Amino acid sequence: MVDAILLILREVLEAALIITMLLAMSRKLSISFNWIVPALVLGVLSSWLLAHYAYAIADALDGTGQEWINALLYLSVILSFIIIGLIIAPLLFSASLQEKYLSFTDNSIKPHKTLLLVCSIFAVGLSLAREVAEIWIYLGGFLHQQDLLQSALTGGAIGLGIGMSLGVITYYLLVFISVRRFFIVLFVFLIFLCGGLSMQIARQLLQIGMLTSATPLWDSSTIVNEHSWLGELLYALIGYDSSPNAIQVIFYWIAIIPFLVALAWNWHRRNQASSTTSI
Amino acid sequence: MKSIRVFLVVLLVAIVTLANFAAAVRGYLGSMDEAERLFNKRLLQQVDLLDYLLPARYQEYLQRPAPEIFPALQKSEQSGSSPQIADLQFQWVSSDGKLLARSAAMPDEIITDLKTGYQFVNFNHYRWHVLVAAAANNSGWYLLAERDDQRYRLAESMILQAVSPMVIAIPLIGFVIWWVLGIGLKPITTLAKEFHAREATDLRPIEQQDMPNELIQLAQSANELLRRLESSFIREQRFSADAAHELRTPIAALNIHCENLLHEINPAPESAYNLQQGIKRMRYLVEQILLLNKTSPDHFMSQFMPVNLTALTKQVAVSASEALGEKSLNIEFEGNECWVEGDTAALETLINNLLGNAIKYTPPNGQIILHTWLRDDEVILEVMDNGPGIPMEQRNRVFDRFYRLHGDRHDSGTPGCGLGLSIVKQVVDLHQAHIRLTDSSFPSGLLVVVTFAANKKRENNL
Repeated sequence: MVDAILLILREVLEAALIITMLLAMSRKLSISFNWIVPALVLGVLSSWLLAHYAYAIADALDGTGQEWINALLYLSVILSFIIIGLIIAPLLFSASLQEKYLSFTDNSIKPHKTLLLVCSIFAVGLSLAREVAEIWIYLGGFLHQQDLLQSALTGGAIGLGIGMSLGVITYYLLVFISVRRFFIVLFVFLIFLCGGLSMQIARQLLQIGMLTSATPLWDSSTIVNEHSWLGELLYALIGYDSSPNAIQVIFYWIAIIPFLVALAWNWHRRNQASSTTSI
Repeated sequence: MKSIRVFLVVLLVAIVTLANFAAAVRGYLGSMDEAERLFNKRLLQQVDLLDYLLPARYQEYLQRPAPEIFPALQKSEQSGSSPQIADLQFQWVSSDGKLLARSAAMPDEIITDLKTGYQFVNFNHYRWHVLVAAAANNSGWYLLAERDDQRYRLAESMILQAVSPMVIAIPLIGFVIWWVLGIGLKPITTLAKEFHAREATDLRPIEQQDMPNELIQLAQSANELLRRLESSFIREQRFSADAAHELRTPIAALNIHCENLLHEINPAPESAYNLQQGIKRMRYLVEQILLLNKTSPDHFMSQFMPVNLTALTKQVAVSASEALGEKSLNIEFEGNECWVEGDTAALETLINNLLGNAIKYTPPNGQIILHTWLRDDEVILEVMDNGPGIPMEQRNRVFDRFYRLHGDRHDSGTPGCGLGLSIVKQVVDLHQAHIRLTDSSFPSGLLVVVTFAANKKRENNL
């Protein structure tokens, strides 16, 4: 049962955090939540397809299909998050964001609304596709072992419950903070999430030998073990890996550079604007 | 927060779920540890049992060339395939390391080092819990083994009986929270409904009986506001009535004096005629402001009743005959008898203002057409003229107060103050009707279409 809890919690927590963050973003920007419906439909349908054709996918491309699909899904999610990050970056430096909600009609996001929503749908849908497919496959394995099924289902329900509850509580915590503080939290979350996902891409490519593996740069498993509760939480939040190698670290930096550039660029623009105003 | 109930239900269910499931996991892990200890104790008890039976035959077994093999036990039918009990296997080894006896599932080799205590050993494709214990009377060692997977399933099947209900209870708890909050929030819903259902003119204080403490303050403040509003309305009404009287009387007097002046001075100077025009304009303006005030939704206190719109329209047209005659305007009326739910005085003002505008802006010898139609559930009042009309881009603005077409350059030659259509709009809104300005079917001119909901009862009776 503990295995089921851990596996499902790990998948659900990551998906719940992504959904929570993007829903809170919609709330802060006064955008309707309707986009979540196509995102969930996309997620559930594509996860079912991935789980149903899991064997065919795994056998494709000389047995590397699964890794390629995973890498592709991770990449799409990262790109969606990078676009969202670039759109929201200017908000980090707006001085007038002390209130709880931002009126959609007078914010700088307005021209990019469609792009923002499309990216949110893809980010949630494709994240769910990968996470939920793993849950389908895991629980599907117990269908023929009736004596273990109850244990797996109970564990699954507990993992799902804990993950979703944490998501809900996080959502309300985020809703009650000011817009500016929220966007700082969201931006930092996106940076770590994209960094973590990019390390997963590197891991997939290392597994199929597309990249040559090197010795790990460090091993922090003695401090936080990847398979401990804290390790799972950190994995979900920042893609924690206790013994990453150089390739993974390079991928991490490539993924977070757009965010850092957007941050620097908007900071520079704000400074320029304020110096012009003072003149 | 869009709904207090949804917010509370979602958040409370999340907190309960988190606490409940965290407790379930903690309980599960604790129970599994406890089960492990119990299983280990049971192994120790088996050692006692073997000590009663085997040491007496130590010498006999020592002499045998091959170890004695105890056949597998026949399990009772009830145990079935599920692991109701964990299989117990053992080896008996002499002090010098010779295997004396074993159960059927054990191998011929001694499975582990002869060190007292519990340990894990893998053999026969399974992982086993093994207890190595010294036999009584210095008669060698017992190695007792239990399959780890069987132990685990047995322990889990017992613990799941305690954990599963906690999972199943969550939807039930969610439903109960939803239901209880519904009851708890009912006074708020009731208060909101009471406010919503009230007519704009109903300023009675809110009943505070059986109201929870949290809402009493709100109700008290609301009652205080209602009381102030009511006295303000009364003051306003009194002021309007007084103002109407106080303004009309001096203006009427002024008018008489002015007419006397025109008779007395012959020929009358141009200024005297200008004075007469000014007085006319002032009288019209005062009348319009008083009407605007009377029909404003905040002050409108009258009760609606069925009104024969057709008869009312004809009556207004007849009373305007003098003005129509002055400009030699031709007026036509067509339509069937229509009844609407409304206030006669307000509707009369509406028709009067629409017809007044048509008369004002239609050139001499022009044409005005009045219609009242009943179409399905709607009553339509149309006023059409062949005057200059209103340009498309200004049609929305003409309902603004004091807005006059072409601003100050307006040259209709008739008194006007830009309030007529504002009053019309106000009356239309009061009756929840719609007004539309469009092109007339003449080469030029305006068609005003006002759509009311038909008074069904009246129509059915006719």
